[in-house]
Amino acid sequence: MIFNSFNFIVLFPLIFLLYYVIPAKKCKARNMFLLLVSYLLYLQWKPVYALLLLGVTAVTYYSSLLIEKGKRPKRILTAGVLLTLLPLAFFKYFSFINDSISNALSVVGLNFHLQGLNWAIPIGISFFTFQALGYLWDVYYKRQGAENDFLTYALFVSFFPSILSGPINKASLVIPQLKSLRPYFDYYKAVEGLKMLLWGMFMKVVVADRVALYVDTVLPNYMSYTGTSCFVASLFYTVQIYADFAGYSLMAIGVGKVLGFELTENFRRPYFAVSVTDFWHRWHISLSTWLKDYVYIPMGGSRCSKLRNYWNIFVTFLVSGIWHGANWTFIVWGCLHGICQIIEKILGQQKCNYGWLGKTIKIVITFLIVNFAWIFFRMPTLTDACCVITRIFDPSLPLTVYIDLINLPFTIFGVGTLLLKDLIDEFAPNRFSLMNNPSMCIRWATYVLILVMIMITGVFGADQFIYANF
Amino acid sequence: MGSITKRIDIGGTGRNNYICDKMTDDVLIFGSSRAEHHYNAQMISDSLGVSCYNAGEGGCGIILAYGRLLMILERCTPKTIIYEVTPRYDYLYGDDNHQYLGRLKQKYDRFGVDSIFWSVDPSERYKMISRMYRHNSSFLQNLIVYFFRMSTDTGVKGFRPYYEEMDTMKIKGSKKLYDSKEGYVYDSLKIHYIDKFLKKTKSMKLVFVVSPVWYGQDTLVLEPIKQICKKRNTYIIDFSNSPKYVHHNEYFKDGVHLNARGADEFTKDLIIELKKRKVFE
Repeated sequence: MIFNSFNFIVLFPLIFLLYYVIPAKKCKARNMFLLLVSYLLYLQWKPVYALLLLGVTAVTYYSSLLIEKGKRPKRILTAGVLLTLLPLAFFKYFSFINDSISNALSVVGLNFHLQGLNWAIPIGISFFTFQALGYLWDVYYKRQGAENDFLTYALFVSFFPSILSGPINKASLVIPQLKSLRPYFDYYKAVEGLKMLLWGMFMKVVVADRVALYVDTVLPNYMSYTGTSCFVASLFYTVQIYADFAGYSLMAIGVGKVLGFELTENFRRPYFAVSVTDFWHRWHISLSTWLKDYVYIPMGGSRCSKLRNYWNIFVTFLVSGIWHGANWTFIVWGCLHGICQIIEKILGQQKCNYGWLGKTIKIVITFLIVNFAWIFFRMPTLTDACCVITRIFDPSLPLTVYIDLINLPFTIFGVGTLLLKDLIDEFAPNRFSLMNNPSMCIRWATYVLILVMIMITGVFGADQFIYANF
Repeated sequence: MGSITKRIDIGGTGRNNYICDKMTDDVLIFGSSRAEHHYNAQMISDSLGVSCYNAGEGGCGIILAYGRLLMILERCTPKTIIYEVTPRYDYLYGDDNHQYLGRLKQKYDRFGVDSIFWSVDPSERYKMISRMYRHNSSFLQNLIVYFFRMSTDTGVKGFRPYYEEMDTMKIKGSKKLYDSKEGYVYDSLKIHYIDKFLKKTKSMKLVFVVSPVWYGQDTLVLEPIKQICKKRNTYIIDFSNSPKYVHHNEYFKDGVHLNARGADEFTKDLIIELKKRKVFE
């Protein structure tokens, strides 16, 4: 369910109330209720795809039990992984592989093309597939015992706050919480969760959806705009994707907290990273942890030769690119991030060993690199991405910038507020705390102000979250 | 905020207030930005001896037009309505219909307007309980306009011409606008509001017009309107493929909008056509 939708605002208090009607002692009943809600919300979209979710759950559940029994665990793991990946490969990558092969064949004069699929990709498939695969590998590497209770495991895979766009939770974090006797109502956690929900909503509707108006005007029609406008649009897209995805993650974690759960932290002010390597310690943390644990380390990680280590980094980010989407643009985006990190490793520039000026310069350089890579992420084809980049660097184009006067004040307000909050959180976390201020007046004034800002400057009726497409 | 918005008499909000609360002209022009920037209402008034107002609105179509018509009919009945047809906004499927509600938000309490919101999105019924939401994305402009009298041009009788020359960067190829090869999908809600609009304008003369397009336009896209004209026994005057305008940079600001020169030229041509068809007799 989209957290900034009206349905959510109506349904969530109802879910919350019903959940807390069930006594804390009846942990299983509470889990059953959450499982039911998770599946009902998933069914809302395309009912038949709930079968895929159930299928992935069943395959990983039984595979993990068989792996733990210890008879040919590697074979079971391989079969389990392949079966789990099958729906993802089929729905997300079939058309891409099919098109790529037929394009390659047409170069040598062979015309072969299978009928393409025109089916919608099951929502959140990349997230729940990776979460289930992570669990399977954890059981195989004996980091986690196989879960015997199917309902608990099914809830772990389908937990409604995180199924759509993550975070990709680790079984070791969530399953113990599901199995333990949770307190009836954790007031402080719930308040913390509501604050996250409020700020996440602000990031989504006030910042992300507002800058999206500019991005969606300029980038799809880049030929009609100057290079400077394209550059501004790319900067706005960089803001948009952060506010959109980090906003969603905050809301997901917030909803989890209101229900008494702790989910994985997903963002830590990524645009203050001093290197691309540092960026990945702050951006989509749950995915980078997953890739580190299940791709990078099994390949040898950094405990191998330098060359092999560089190769491992490259492959990890290639997988990251492929995970994001079935398009060459995502692959190039992933490769760019991989190559940048290899260069940083060679030059010893992964961390910042300079003073504040050096740090500022490194933050700006990293931001520009990440911004450059986002162009590939945003544009529909490699040709389009290259054309946008060419326009940005074309000196013959005028230096005028397209300005949307109606949206400009709201954009400045939204982006400025987000930047200010992130600056404070990054460099002076214990000062100027408004939402956590000891004074009740200041705290409540902040809540009300954010709510009012959402109501009067938010963009409503916008499309869903960017990462819900992955 | 509501009372401030009501008192604004300049800029886009002032124009909206005038159309919804005060306008009593004989001839009304409805449609999108192509209506707003193409029809010189003063020229129509002077040439035909009738009072005329341009009630077109950028990025809007039949849903807003119907809402505005309801409010106008509360106080007067126009004699003639000229409707600039923009298929994308008037009957084709594709855009999020929420976008047409912006100018109606502040008029939500007026008779019949609320039901337009509910038909676009039932949850709007609950969102609109919040008075703040009614000023979403517009409160800042309205405050600036009210206190500092800073605003965009209100236009002459609602007509807001573009004075810029053709920006060739905005031209994407030379293919005609709309492509029937992919087939046209119609938006049932927009069609519903076309029907309602037709019913409300039964006692008036209604003329559909398609103003010039630099690219030219696929004629098949106008089929639904042509059928309505047959049923209603009214006209559609189509300038979209007129050789006088197609690919003539001097008349355009971009591929779909005429500049001031083009708008005046087109209005002259339209007046000749209206006279020929004896619309005002």
